[in-house]
Amino acid sequence: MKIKTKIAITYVTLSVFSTLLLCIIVFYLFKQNNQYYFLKRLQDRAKIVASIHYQNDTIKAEYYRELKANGLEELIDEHEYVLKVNGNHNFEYNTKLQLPPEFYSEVMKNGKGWLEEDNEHFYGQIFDENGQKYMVIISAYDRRGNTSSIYITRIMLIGTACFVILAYFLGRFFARRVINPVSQITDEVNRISASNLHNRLSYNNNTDEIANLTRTFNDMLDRLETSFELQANFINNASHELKTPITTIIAETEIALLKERNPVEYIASLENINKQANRLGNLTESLLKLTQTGYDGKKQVQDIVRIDELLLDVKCDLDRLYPNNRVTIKLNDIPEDEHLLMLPCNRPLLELAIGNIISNGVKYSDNEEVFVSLSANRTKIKITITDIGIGIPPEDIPYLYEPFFRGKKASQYIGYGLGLPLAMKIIRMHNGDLTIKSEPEKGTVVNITFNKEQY
Amino acid sequence: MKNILIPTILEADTVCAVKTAIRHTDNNSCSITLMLLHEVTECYSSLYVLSHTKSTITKAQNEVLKECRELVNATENCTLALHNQYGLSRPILKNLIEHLSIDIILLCESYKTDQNKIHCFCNKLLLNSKYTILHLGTQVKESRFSKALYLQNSYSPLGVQELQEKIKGRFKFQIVSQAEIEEQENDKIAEMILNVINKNGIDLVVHTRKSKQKISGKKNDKKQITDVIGLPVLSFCEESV
Repeated sequence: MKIKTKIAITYVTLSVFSTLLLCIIVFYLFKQNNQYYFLKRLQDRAKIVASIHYQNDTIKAEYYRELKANGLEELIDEHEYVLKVNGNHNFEYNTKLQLPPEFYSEVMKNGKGWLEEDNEHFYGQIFDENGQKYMVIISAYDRRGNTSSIYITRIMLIGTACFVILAYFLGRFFARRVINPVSQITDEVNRISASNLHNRLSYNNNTDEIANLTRTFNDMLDRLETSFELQANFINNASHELKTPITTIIAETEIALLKERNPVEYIASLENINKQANRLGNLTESLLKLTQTGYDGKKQVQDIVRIDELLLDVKCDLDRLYPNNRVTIKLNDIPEDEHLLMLPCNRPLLELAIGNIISNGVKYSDNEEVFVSLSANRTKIKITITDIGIGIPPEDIPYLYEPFFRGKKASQYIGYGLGLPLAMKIIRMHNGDLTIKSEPEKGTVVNITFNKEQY
Repeated sequence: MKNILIPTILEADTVCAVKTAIRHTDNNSCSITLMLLHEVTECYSSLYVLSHTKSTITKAQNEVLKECRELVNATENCTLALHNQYGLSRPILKNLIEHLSIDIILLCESYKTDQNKIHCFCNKLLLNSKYTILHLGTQVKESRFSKALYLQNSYSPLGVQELQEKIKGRFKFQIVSQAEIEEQENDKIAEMILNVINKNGIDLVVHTRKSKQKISGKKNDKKQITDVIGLPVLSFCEESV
């Protein structure tokens, strides 16, 4: 059975149950109230009958009769009996009255009592006049009470039936309203396949379960897309990223071999080659692990890195590749508390990602100035890279993260369109966001924001 | 003033523990207390206990003690005291630690693996206490602890940033790597951790534990990840950090 139907049925059942319960309570109270007022009327009549019985004055007796006939509301099939009481358990019996002995006993004992038999009500009360006791019994049918009861029962039955129908439609409406977002998610997820893994489910900023489910799906799609693309593009990424340290090693050896040098220079050269070779090793290992397992920080050993130090290291590497670069690292806004600059990450990969973005700035601005600024607080670390380069046309921006995409203007420069997509994936894997704002011929601003986990 | 307690059976690694303790003081005045535990036989007479308690140590133990004294005497800021403790209970240990104003407890491998009942009991009491414990492990290097790896329990809410903020000023090492460990998947991550330790030159592992865990008499055959790594482990209690 579908959840939608289950919700509707549960809603209807609960509504019917509560309505029926309410009807029963109302009906019971209504009956009690009717009975109370009918007995009250019988009681009034009994008092009048007793008064008439006692009056020796015929005028007064006549007045009471008229009052009873005209002043009080007429009762159906009303009869009155006055039985003389001779002793504690002895009274004059009227053969017209077919009442059980318990009724008489109760009246004799309590001074009054009542009984209902086949909708006919009997009320008895003892009156005392000049030492002589009388038992007055009034009997009548409560036809009006019965009619009201039937009337209210009908109203309740019709009302309950209408309410059940209404509850059914309301139940279906609410069930659809509750389940619809889930159905939408299912439809959207069904539309996502290997060919359009970049699609994401749309969600608002609510904090309800559906928004959480959507976010979880999107996170899962992030991981899937990243792993999928990394595996598909491993050779491309590896070739692209290993190029830089290899170029440095080749340049170092070529310079060292240009002429004969003293041992100190050779040692310095070999140390640099060793450093670059180590970097190459780390990078290869990181890329391999990334491709094999995808990146899940919880299942890997992470480096705790001071992000300002990492930026300075990236700058050192860039200085080797682009000796004339005009990259300026601005650390004016960094907090005094060094712990706010700490970021758990995979250092080689993050160096690679940030290095790619800064070198893009250097490359596409023809060695113009590139500013890298850093700021951090308890919740996030933000790196802003600003260049005054050729910029990116708006129509190219949606395709920036697709491997091998080259913009029209960018194609004039040497490149493969692999650096930025990989950087984007690495940043996303580190719980970060990458946003690019650009204007052609004016420049580009890249914001990298790492969100820290809050405990 | 940093005071350090070293429960010991005066094996050779006690010397390493004292050396580590001296390095940890950073030239601040410090009192190092070696605690020798002795069992007490159950009896009703105080006189019987007094007449049967002996604090004899072997020649080898004496040599170790002598070496420790020489090491401490060579410093200007440290003092060494030998505390003979007869019998042990949780309140006695607590009061002793409070009386000596102990900041950190050093546990040698020889003491942890000793099968003597009272030493095992002391180990369990310490592991269930809220005090900071430095497990010296098997690979004690003669270096100041400078680079640390934080092994974060998967259930622990204490992230690396929070931990660093809380221990700021007490220790001088820098946490350079972090790994999240789960009890079930220790074997998988151990290899990765060993690689990172070698690559980054890590000389200390930082770990958090929960206090008031159940003390069971049964031996746990499963090797802890910190045992596999072999490095000194600085263990903080999550509730008291």
